[in-house]
Amino acid sequence: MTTLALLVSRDYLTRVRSRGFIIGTILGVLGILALSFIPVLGRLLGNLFSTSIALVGPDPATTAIVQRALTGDYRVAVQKERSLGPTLPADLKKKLLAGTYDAALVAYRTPGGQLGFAYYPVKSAGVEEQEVLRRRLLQAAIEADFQAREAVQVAQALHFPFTTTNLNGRYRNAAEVGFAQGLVYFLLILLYISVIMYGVYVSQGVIEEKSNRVMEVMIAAVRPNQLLAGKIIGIGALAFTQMLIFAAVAGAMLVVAGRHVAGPMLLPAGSPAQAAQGNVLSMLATVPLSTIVYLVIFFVLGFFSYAAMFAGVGALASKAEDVQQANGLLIWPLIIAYVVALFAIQTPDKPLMVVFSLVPLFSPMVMFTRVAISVVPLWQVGLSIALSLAAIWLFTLLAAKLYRVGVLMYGKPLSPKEVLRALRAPA
Amino acid sequence: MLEVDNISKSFGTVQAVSDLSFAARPGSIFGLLGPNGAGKTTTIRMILDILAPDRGEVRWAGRRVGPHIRHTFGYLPEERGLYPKMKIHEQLMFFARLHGLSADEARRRIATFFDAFRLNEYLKRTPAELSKGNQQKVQFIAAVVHRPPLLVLDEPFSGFDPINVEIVKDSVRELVAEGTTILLSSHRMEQVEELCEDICIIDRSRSVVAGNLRAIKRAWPNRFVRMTNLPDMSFLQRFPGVVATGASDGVAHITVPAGTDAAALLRAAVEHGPVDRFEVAEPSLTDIYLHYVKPEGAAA
Repeated sequence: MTTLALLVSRDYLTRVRSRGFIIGTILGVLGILALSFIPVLGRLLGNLFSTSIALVGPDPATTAIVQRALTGDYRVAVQKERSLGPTLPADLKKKLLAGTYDAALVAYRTPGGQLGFAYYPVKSAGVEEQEVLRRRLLQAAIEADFQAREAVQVAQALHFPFTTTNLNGRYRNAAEVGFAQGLVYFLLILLYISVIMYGVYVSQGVIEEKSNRVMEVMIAAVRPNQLLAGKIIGIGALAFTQMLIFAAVAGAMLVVAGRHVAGPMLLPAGSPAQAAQGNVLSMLATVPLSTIVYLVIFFVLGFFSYAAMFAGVGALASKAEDVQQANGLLIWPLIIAYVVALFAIQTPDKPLMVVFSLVPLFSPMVMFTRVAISVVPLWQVGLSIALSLAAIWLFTLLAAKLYRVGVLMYGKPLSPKEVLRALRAPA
Repeated sequence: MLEVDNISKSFGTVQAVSDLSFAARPGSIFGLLGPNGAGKTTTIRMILDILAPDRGEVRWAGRRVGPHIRHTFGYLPEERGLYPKMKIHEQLMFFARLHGLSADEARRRIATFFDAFRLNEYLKRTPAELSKGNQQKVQFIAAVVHRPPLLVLDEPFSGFDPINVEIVKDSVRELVAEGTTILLSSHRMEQVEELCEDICIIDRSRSVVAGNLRAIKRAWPNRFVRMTNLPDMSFLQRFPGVVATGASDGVAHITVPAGTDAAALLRAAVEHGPVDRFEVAEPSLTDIYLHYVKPEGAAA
């Protein structure tokens, strides 16, 4: 066994058997089980923003009725064009893709004279979101058709045509979109918690070796760089183990939920949302393998970019108290990344999101969200990964320098001057 | 053979070690002495290739010490440390394997040491559950379990009761008999005197004296006479360079030049009264140490 393998397995094995890890994992699993029974995440997300809708109607009177029905939940911008059918006018599509509106709604008369709707969201529309829209449109359909038609036809009006066409063309139907968003939301939480928790583990692991003086023996036998690598990889493997357990439980819960929980949920029969819950299994099958692969890639990138910094901070401190403030600073970029990623679930392709998805420290979360929700040009994904790798290389280099100086300093934390000198020293 | 060849190290403006040289022979114990802050720890760290010297080099078996060899060395630092929550046996396995032993070999050696150190009942315990003395024993085993060709012991006997000091000393002697080179750093003069053949005393980053302890003593310019304190000690003035440095408990302490005829001194003393004690001693290590190491604050 090589030295590095020994170091990694020590860091891994002693922790994976520790009471803290086992209890933490059990609590996490319980948390997932609890969350599985509270299907409100999607609704919460849907309400985060009010969507701006460009409305195209068949005639001013009908358009006004539809506008009234939507106002409150949506910001409605009535367009000058008149609709002749469910198709989206070409110049409006351009405006949509340019980001002027979040979505377009084309209200039109069918050849039979019935009022129909075609919905064109730029970002993919969630299940809940479509349900809310459908209810509003139902109101409009009844109101618009009541004046002209018999009661018999009102019943027919309840089954007004309503189609959704996602303009980025990634998902076959709205249910898939909702499922993807929910999944990404869940995975983001997992990503966030594990990077913070295991990052702090890394700095504590370094501090622990310093404060109980094992460090002195260790550096006589191995290089500080090996020690650093062993710590980060060992704890990374630990984090990975826990994520695998959580993912397995969550997956099992999705399947169970698909079979037993879907029925009683209060969604209109025949709605896309209901269909989605009725068949989570088939939904799971629609999660592209690439999402899973990206999750692994961005988890690894995220963990390593933060872990290297946490290790450097650990090397600078000599007591657990010293490190807490510095850890607090390191957590900020992660919190920002998390919040931005939440927004990215809704608007994955806004220019600001594109920028965040390229910047290291933010990119693991934001780019993961984008690739999981939307269709991201490959060069952006590649650039994001490359920049992250470069940042990891840089952070690890700096951490190794701090480590070399810091590991031998006990008793007092390094002064800013000493830190600078260490960082400027040749590698 | 460990050769320390003219090494220097400074940290910023602080000169920690200057032009230090000495050599430790295989199968012997070399004593590294000096006051706190003299540069011993820095020297040890350079020998173990933890720190790189600014100038000069450290050689083992004729080759510069580097990653190829350093992990075979053993090190018992003054600042003791074990992983507090890792079981003793696992911990020793970890250290043994880190130093290059195979798993089987490590298990075998640990078992041998546990018998010798009477630690068998603590195999599955963690250091946090052990007494300080037993922790120290585990730490000692961790440093020597892989039978290092070079073993650095920094204050190895601190924290041990007299019985355990003997157990550790026996173990050290056994290692020396097997050919291990040991570098011993300690403030306990009597233990260094008992165990070390060669020494180096450093003070304020520099070596002030180095070499074979017996040779240093023999070459010492003075001898020390302890004799019955007589009412009239004036006869001492007949011997050039002889100085009475004091008396206590009826014993006079006299420093004499190394070439002085002790027999003549004794004859002269006997003429002046009953002498029931008379001994000529070489300097103790403490004498040598105190001669070379200036008190804190004195001019270097």
